[in-house]
Amino acid sequence: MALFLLRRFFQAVLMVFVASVLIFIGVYAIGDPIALLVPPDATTQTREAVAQAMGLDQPLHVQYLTFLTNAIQGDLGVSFVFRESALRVILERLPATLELASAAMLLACLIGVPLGAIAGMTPGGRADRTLLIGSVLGLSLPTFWIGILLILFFSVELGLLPASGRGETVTVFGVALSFLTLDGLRHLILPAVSLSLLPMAILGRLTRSGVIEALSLDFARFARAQGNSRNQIVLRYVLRYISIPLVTVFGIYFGTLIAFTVVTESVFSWPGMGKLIIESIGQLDRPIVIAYMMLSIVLFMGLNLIVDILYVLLDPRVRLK
Amino acid sequence: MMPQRSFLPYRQITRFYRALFAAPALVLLAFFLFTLTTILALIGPELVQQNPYDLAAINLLDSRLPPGSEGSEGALYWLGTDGQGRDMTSAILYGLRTSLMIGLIASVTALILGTALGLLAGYRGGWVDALIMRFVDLQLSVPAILIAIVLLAVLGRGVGNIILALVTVQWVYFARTVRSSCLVERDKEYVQAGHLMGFSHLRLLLRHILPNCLAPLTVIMTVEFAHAIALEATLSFLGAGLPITEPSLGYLISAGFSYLLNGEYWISIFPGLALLITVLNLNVIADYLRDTNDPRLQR
Repeated sequence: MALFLLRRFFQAVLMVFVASVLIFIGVYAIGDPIALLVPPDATTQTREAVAQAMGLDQPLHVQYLTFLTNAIQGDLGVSFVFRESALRVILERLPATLELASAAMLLACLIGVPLGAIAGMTPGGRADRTLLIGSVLGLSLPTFWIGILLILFFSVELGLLPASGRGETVTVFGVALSFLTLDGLRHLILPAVSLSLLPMAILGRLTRSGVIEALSLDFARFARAQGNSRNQIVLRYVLRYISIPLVTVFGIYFGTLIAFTVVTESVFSWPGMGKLIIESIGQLDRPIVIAYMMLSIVLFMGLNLIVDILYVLLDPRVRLK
Repeated sequence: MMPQRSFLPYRQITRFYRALFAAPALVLLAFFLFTLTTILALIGPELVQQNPYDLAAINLLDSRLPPGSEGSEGALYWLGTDGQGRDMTSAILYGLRTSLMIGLIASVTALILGTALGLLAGYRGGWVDALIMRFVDLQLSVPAILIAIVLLAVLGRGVGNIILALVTVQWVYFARTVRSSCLVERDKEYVQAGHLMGFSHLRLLLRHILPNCLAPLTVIMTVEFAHAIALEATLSFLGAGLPITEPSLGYLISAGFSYLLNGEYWISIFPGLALLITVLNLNVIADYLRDTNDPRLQR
């Protein structure tokens, strides 16, 4: 098992490395970073001086090595706009994004999994059809438009919930959190709901098909023969049985959620790193874009690794191999 | 004599239509609505009263009129007007055309590219397979929207660039599906028989293996068509997609967003409804195809 995890870990490191090459080629080789740093009417001499100062006159592989050495030491460049370390600018906004994504994921699990289980217990029934139609809606509604609808109903028409910002925050261990204050919680509701519909639909469908499949298996029949009620079987055995695919999807969609915060944060002006990256793209702040991509990839690889570990913990069959 | 086989997989196509007409009412409705949307996108812009992007045709005095109001020159605005006095009905029809066109071009290109690479990977195996699939794995570990945003940040806005970005994120789904079907088919007897008859690899791949991969491909194609439309709308909403000169539904929604807080809902809600209906119909059709073709195909 340790060997399996070690191999997985090295695979993840290799993936991050390959991704860094691709990002580097994408951002540095295709675009022209000098064009952003000097005014368009600058002389050739000024251009060359700037290029030399930034090491841009070196061959590409030398530039990449410099980039990689700096990146390993945690230096992903200095933001053109904020004039401080790009990584630090992003890390300052990471907690807000993680808070939003976690709240959305929590909602998705708390609503999607039970609904899916109820639907799966009576395939073809009313609950089942409702879930199927609802989940197609959840998959089809564009995240940003759900956000707009929610703002229209709850902020503009009813005036119940705020439409933008994070509200009052409480600082815990140096990290600002919204959900601990009433005001922050009210700000969190709309963005979290709009972000949660997609994973809710997917978790609901997966739970449904898992429950349908599991109920036809021998263990569920034996449990039924022992006199357990259907509810007991689903709660005690079936949910445990289908937890493995659920965990996988949970991991994958947590990553997707973090990516989709780009959309939700733009709609709700949530001050996280998703809003930051869209603004940075608009301002051509390349170091932030690169740092964001690198951080995201490390984050996604980390998530995949955690899913693999959970897999081993949940499924004894994997442990034995 | 070999019986002459047509290149077109008629059997699959007839099966597809037969399945379609045996479908539940909801699916038929979705198919009907989707056809209607397509027709509207094709001929709609010719029918409407104004070209919303011809500055001479729009009247600033008519800006931000609610749905159903009459303009200063007697024109009736069914869905209201936007901040520049554009008729929303016309703007939506033009936007629908752009959205559908970009979604279709992108997903068909991704289909061709992904199928070619998937067939190559599945048929050749070995290092070719390993290389292609490692790349697919790498790309699948990063959410599509992020790749598209960063690509567009590097390349800049534009119709060509957004299609490129959509193809880049979508070909992997086709490649993965085709490869797994191809791996199953590759060792079957009819392929071996083809080998013995001296058929070329290309002929075996295109005429014999590919038609047997079509069932899952139709499902993925429908899903990815919807996905391409939604992704393009999202990117355009974020300002990373299409330029203002080629407004798609996503751009219309984003332009209307700033009026929303004043209660002028129609500027962004109606284009959103058009987008939702298009994507929803495709997803309903895709769900049905998945259930009838292969229940094991999971999203």
